[in-house]
Amino acid sequence: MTKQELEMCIDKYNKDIYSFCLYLTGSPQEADDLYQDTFLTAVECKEKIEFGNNPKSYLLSTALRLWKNRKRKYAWRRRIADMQPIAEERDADMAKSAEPSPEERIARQEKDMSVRTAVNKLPDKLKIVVLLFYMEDLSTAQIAETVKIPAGTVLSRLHRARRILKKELEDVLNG
Amino acid sequence: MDKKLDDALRNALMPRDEADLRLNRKIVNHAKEQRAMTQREITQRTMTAKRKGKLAAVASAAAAVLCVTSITVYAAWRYLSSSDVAGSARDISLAEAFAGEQALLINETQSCGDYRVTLLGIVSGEALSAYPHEHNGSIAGDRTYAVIAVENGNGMPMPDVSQEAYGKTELNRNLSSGDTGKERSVCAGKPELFASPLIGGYDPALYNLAGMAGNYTDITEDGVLYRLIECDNVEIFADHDLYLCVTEGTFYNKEAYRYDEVTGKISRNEDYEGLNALFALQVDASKANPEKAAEYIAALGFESDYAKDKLSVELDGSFEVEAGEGNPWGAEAAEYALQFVGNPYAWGEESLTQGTDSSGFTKSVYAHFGVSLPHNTTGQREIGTEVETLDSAQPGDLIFYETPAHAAIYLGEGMVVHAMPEMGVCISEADFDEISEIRRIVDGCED
Repeated sequence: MTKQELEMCIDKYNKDIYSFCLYLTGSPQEADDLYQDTFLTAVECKEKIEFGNNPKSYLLSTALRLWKNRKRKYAWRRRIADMQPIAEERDADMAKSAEPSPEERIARQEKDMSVRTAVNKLPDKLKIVVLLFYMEDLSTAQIAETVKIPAGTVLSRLHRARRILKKELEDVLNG
Repeated sequence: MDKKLDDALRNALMPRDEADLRLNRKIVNHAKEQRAMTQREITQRTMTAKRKGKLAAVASAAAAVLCVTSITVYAAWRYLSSSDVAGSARDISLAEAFAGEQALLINETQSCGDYRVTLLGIVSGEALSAYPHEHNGSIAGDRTYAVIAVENGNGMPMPDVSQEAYGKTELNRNLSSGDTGKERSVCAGKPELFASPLIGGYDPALYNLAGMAGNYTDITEDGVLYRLIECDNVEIFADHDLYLCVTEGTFYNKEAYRYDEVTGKISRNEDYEGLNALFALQVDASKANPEKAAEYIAALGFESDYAKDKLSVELDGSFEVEAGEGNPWGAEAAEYALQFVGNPYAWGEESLTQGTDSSGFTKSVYAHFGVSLPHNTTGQREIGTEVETLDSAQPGDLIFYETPAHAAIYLGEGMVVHAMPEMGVCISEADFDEISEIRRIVDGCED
């Protein structure tokens, strides 16, 4: 990856990759580490083809691979420092999407928080496909490639995750 | 509800956390240092690259396997569209199975939405056993395979699937429109299609490809998209209506079809604008295996969504069934039912001592009081009067659950007694699964 490519990727996929790292690890410090390592691994990657056609998928699968490798290390750290609620005060850009009253904004933020909490509670396997599908907007085929599981498995994990989330969020969604 | 869920997830999970300037700067600087590596480091890097070489070999092996799978599909559909393929080198077992006498060659075409969908053929169960075909270590005899062909109605070629994975990654997110699903399919270059066998009498929202260990492979040839669908054998349900649905999207689309809970029939929603093909599968009813089917349904894993800690619990020592109003036998029936706790579960049976399923349990308990109920939950849901909420439920009321065909008897204080697969007759917290209906028996019901 050239310097230009690196800068282009950071510019373009900053949010996509960082948000994914944050949800995966559950803490900003670990997200910083994982984000940095992901890009540095990408820099080392010599085969252009690997990231050339779809840098985002490549970066996501790199992040996922690195994270799996270090999950144990992260796991004990997480036990020490309680998980930080994610994206609490980062909703500034939500205001742009035409939310007139502050009450509505608060209600919406609360709803988003419940959704995020529910997603964070999912088992990792399910959480990853949910993040890739809803956060990263990958198709099931792309998720299959990124996580290296059959498309059918992606589908069944999404199916299970949605069932769990639907139950969990019933009040939030209908309220 | 499902649309609400999708929108809520997209909104809440929209990537809005970003790495700060400092971190990005650090990465760029670090990358510079990496580039300015000394010779020794470069040697090290070469070694890393060698290790990566091994990984690449594994990856290409995986690619080779993928290729073989594609050839299977290729052979399968080629055979189905022209019989010349038989005996060719590509004629591997699955293709042979599709060519075999027991395979159903259907070639039925439906035009709807912007597509023309053809169901080419389906093969499953015994028909496959003559063509040993390993699938994840299990024999393909327990699987069903179907092949569909999808064309654009306007004659435009379908996008090539081999390109699809590298489709556009720049997706427009437009949250205010609330229509992200549609945008996704446009932006991704290829519409996501959902094709799945469905079983009459089982809620298609639950019992579809996604829940039935399903998988699919797409290939594009001459502008036609072919999809080989596989999932657990549906032939054992041959005594039910069997269908194959094809819609746009990633999941089963509730809007596109109607499911009649009473008759168990699934049909196209005629008002739905878009792709909602539905093929009726003509399967020899003698292939049905109700026992195996029941086991399969019990084992399908929807149980895994139950709140397991709420199942098979002990009653509080001070628990007493209190008499309610409205159901003359309610409290007595609940009390009577309790004595069978610990007895076995058996699908299709209704013996309180030797084994019973959930509706057999409710039926036999009430039979003791001269109330006759049908031995199926669909019929039992018609009985008596509806009770709005669990709060207003009284001992003896029948509680029906989201997961199809499960019934329990309410005991009071949030507890139920029921016959549960794998657990037998047990006491559980009433909200171990989503409650879909509560009925109160008010008179003798059926004769």
